[in-house]
Amino acid sequence: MPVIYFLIYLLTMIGIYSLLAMSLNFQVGFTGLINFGQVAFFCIGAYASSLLVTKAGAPLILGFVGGMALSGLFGYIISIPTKSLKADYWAIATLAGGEVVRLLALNEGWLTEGPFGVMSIPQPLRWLFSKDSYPLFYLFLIAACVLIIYFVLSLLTNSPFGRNLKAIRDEEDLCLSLGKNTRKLKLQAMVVAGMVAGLAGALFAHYITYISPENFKPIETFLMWAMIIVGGRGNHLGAILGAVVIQLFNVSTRFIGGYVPLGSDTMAALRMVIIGLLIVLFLLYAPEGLIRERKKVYHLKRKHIE
Amino acid sequence: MEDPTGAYPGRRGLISYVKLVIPFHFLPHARVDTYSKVLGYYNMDFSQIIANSLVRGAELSLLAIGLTMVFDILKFANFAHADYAVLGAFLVYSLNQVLGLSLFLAVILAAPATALIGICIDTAIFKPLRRKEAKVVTAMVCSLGIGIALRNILRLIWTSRTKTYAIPIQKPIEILGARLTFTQIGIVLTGFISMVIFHLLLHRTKFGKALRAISDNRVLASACAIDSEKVIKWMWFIACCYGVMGGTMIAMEHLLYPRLGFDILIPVFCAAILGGIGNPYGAMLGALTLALAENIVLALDFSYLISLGGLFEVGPIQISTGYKPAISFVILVAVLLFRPTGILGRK
Amino acid sequence: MRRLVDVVVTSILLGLLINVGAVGGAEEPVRIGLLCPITGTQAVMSEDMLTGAKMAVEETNAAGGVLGRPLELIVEDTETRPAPGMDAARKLIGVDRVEILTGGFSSGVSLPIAEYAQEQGVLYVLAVPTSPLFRDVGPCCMSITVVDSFKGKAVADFAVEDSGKKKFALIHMNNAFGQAIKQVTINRLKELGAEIVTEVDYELNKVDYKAELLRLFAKDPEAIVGTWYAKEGLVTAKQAYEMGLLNVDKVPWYVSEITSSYAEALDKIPEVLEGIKGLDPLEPGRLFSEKFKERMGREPITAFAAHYYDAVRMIAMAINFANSTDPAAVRDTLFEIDDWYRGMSYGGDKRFDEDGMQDHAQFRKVIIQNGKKVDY
Repeated sequence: MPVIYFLIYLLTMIGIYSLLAMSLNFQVGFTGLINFGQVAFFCIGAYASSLLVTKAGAPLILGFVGGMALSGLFGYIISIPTKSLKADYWAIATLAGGEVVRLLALNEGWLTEGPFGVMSIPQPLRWLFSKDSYPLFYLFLIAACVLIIYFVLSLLTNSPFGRNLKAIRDEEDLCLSLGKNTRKLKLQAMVVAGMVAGLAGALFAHYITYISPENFKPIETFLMWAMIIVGGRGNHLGAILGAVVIQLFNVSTRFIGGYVPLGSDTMAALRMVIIGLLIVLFLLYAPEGLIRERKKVYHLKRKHIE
Repeated sequence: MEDPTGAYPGRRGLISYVKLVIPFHFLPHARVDTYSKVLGYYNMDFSQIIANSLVRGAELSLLAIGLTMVFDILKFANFAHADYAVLGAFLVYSLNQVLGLSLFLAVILAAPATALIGICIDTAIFKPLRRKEAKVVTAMVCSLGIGIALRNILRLIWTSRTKTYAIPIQKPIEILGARLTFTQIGIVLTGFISMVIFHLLLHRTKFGKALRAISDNRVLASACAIDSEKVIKWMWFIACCYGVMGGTMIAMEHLLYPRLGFDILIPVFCAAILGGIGNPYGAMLGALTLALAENIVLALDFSYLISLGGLFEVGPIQISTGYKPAISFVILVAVLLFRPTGILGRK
Repeated sequence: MRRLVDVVVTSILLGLLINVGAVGGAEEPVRIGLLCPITGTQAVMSEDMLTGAKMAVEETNAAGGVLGRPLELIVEDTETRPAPGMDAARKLIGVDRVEILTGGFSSGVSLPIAEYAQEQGVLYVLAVPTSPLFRDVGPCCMSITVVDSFKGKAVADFAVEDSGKKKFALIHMNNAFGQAIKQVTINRLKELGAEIVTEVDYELNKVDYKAELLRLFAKDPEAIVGTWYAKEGLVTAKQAYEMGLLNVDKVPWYVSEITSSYAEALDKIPEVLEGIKGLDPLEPGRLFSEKFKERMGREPITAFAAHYYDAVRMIAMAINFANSTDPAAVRDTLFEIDDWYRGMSYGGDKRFDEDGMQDHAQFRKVIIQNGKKVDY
């Protein structure tokens, strides 16, 4: 039944965006790093993996690892300036950085095929499955990735490392005065986030089997931001829920389109107006998002003080 | 090759002959013909590059001034600033085309109208955030959302069809070897006059004094009985009016469409940061520098430098034109990395 | 807040279900999917394309429809971006269960869709996208439009033959469409013994192309060959004119497709374009233009209207002759009927080569005189 395949496709895309949102949430919601160039990780992961496999002839698993590694490396590079730049300056720089990455992919044709894009990207374990069962397998693969990343990130954020990150987010100066190496912590956070988003990029490239620079425009970053703001920052479930809500909302206009007497251009514009307004309204009236961050409250024990 | 019509006398003007000889005179062994190698143009139209940069700089600086003011006073980068400007340019379009007002009159009406919308948005969104003492980044992300919403509201009202103002195409006139149209000369002059007015506003009025006081120390300013909210309203008013002028100029020179705001956002940010946040003169200088860089980088031939002054034979090495949009991004990132206070420094 | 989550999620799911339920019924029309870039391009273009397709459907239905049932188009917006384009195609194939797709605009958007359609065994008849890469997709991908290589070659031939010049400067947009034309143009110009002094690639959706134009003219080219879309064509022509660079008596301009490059400029600044030469697809059939005008009150501005019309008409005809909507059968029939179908676009000859592409094209040479395109 083809409808099932469409639903599987939707869920797969939601899975990929969940990974991206979790990665962005790890930067914004946990570490307080405002990244407006998130799509660059996605782009690097997708390109690195597919080029390693199609051009260098590496096995698929190496492609995935390479995509994650390069994306993590990019995270390392762009986190270097955080030590001297204020959060908002850094945010503007990342927006520019994200576009530079896309322009590199567009103009370095000897490596990336330029505007033509990379075609016929092989799919993992494709030979094991029939045409009809493969999408389901890929969905399971992505669901497994989302689960694994969810648990890994949860482990990280519940560890002392995660508590330090939250400390940076809430009071960086205090954190510094406690002798924490905030710079190193931020570096590590960006590398982790970069690897997660790079994984999402690799999964995307090997799923769609064709990528071109047009896939990685800044609007994708803005959608990821809408996801974490709607879903709630500072917890991984929020990011996943945000990805579900925004992706479903994006597709839903294709279905209500027939019942609403509005042109397609109007609908598309209206959809983006709503996404913009969602960002503003959630920040104003429900800054925690749909799922609130669970903050541990440490009660002072009186006897310790006395 | 002489132009038979005589409409376009030779493409080399006074300044083009001078080329970039002067800056390289200190090089001891450089011969005259090597100078022109540094610029990839065999007949480099240096005067035209300067003229184009002046026009672009005038447009950008009017937008950068508002951005830098908001950044200075409210401490957040307003990602919707360029979209306010485009909203104003669309209002000008409607007043001009639908009501048949002259462009000048249309700008005079559209600027305060846009400013009013800007103040309303401030009251509805940024003021509550200020009152809650939310982090500055919250306001910044909010402005990103406002920008997305505004851009698409423009698309709803005016559709995504490209618009142009009803200005007939003009024959260029030649000034010092550069060809400019009257519109472009008007843009440069308006930009210059607006800057003078801004200077007077900042230094000769009570508002300017209050603004500078708040910029220096907000707590102290409120202790001196300066009503900061009122000053902030006026600041939005000025920022929006200047933005509308800049937006209208860009639309006059080029095109008008709803996404325009996003397309000019990074250059405007770049100009503001290049000049140093909170420094209106810096914003002007930043805009001019950026415009010059945008126009000249494509013209440079790096083979002379790569060959270490002619030691090796190197073919022409020029930056691929595909990277032109990256110029402002790279400058922006470089300035942030190496001199985040801008070229003039912070005030 | 939790209740809000429930409401949002249930309403979206309900919306999906209602639609899914609505599919199916006894006397259902034959549906084919139309992928159209309604957002993200010039409004005129998508209006042209949609009108062309709708005219084809109405004519088909007036003549008895297909297989005794009415023909119906399901239009989905690709937003000229790959991701929504994929959403659209998956929805058409998965939810609406169409077996034949047509339309398309940007090659970058249509390529992944074509690969997916190939995998699903769905026939995709391209109406506008022209990348040569479509050849390698597989048998399910066919095209009623000419692949880039011919346009690039034809404009190179025209430019060399007409101008007799040796030093050329090229300007193309930095996307799959522009770069494919550029490659073929360069190769052909070199074959003909011409020298390429400058290549300029410009980014779409910018407002200031003056630096690119100065670079274009930097090394004293004797002729310019270029391609634009409507918006960029308008801006570059205006800026080149204002910088005194647009002077076709000294440096002639050749444009690989006048209609799509100067759709806006011809409307707004025709006096500037005086004397620019270029290629154009053969005028859409006169009959088509008249019918289009009757319906819309204007002539089709771009040639794409006729492309969409042809694609839908040919599919409808092939379904009728194959007596089925099975993609493989329709594909085979398309190869049979192409000999005698007279199209409205590109001179009407719609014969496919063995890959299901069009390897022949007739262009007309046009020059802009008194603000109008006239045959050259």
